Amino acid sequence: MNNELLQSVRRRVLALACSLVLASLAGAGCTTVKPWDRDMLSRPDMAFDSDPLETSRRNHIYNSKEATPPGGAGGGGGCGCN
Amino acid sequence: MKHRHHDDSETKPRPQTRPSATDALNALTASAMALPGLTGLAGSASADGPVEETTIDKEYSYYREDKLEPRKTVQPNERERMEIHSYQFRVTTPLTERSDLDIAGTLETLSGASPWFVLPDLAGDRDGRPVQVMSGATIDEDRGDLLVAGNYFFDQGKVSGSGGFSIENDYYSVNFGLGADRSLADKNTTLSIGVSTSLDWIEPTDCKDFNRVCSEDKQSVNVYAGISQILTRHSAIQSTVSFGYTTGFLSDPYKLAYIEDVGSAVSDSRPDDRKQFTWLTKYRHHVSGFNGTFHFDYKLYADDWEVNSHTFDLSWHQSLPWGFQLVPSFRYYSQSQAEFFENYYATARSDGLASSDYRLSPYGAITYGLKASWAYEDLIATSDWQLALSYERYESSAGKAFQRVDVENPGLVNFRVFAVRATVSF
Repeated sequence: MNNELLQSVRRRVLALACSLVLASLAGAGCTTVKPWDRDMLSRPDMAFDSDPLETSRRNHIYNSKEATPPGGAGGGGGCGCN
Repeated sequence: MKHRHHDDSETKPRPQTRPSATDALNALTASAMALPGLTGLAGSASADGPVEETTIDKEYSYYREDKLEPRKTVQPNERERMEIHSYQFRVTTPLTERSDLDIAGTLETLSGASPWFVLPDLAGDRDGRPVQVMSGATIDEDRGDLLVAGNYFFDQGKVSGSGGFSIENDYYSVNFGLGADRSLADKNTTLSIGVSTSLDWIEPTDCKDFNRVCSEDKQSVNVYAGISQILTRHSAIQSTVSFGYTTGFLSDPYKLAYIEDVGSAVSDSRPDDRKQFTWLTKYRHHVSGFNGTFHFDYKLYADDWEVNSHTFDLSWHQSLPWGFQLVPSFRYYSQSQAEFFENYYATARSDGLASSDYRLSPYGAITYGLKASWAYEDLIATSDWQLALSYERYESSAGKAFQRVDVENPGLVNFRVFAVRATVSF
């Protein structure tokens, strides 16, 4: 495949991903789950960060080996990162 | 982890027949409130109240990079790379009825060699293929960091603050963060904003001998805004955008870039500022029939060095009998190159920028991993214990990139991480 085609495929995948996120957020605005129906949602494995220690280890490694920062609310300490 | 909450709306009459009501009261949705903690450690953010117990985590991890492949170097005896022994701890504890504290730290020793610069291989039919020159096994240093974060909870939200530092032989960093959450729509929706900043100083070792800078600094600020939304009784989504601005010395003082027409290498030199955009979305879905939970994260990244990247993170959290849990995971990452990056330069750029750092090269990477854990309640007196073992393998190459890459940087890294952890709550 040439680069233009790949670029075009990439843009479409991206557009699809963005649409899905926005659609679910918009759709969700119409639904409510009552507090007493949130037993599944309260499970530890349903947390957005279910293992903060592991997350901080991974973020540190990836941040020092790749060009991309952790994102989200992450910030924090720098490193020499040899 | 158990959480208190202070939401008066939770005390309204509920049907007595619902068995889930007590759970909901005790641990109001991790997902309803779960917003990213400052610097990723305020895990107590995953509820609308302070943690109820003190929890202590202790972890040892071993990180080891593969030897450089022989075809990627012309120094057969200089193929070793880095290894890191790391000890991490984390303590979360309630402070008052409305606040909690989160303290985390790391001590690690780093040793080995890292990529120094890239040469064209002009031997035989190699046609100028880039080959890596390593630093030699000169790195042997320690790093320590500490991060303290606190949360104060209101009925419909919370505020958080954090401060931390990191110290190495040649590198010092301090960081601060502030954040706030506000829940809406009966806590089906949570909005979150925050700001963090870091100040870094570097004093490269042997700076005079190697003609490196001897003292430099950089400053960065990052702002974010996010939304968490319960979708159904079994699913929730969170989406966060962040903007970062860094200014100062952003080059790597330990790397060089080779300029072919003058036949010598110059210091790595990058722009003195960088604007970064990140969009991170996380989706969680519990499948009751399998007693497991699916995690899917996607991160889009772009910066004004023209690096952009995509990260897909998938994992399945399978609960098993007797407190066992298995978590297989898979990650795919792909980045484009920085605009000024070259494996080596035919001739020097007019703007003076030069970097052959593999981290600014175009490539893709996969990680696969497995974590096994075992939890036991009331093991000793009323304390709960958890033991966990995990293994991860990371492999990167130009061929794994989303886009086509003509020439691979020879410094791309493969590594594995092994970790063992003990957690106690009381």
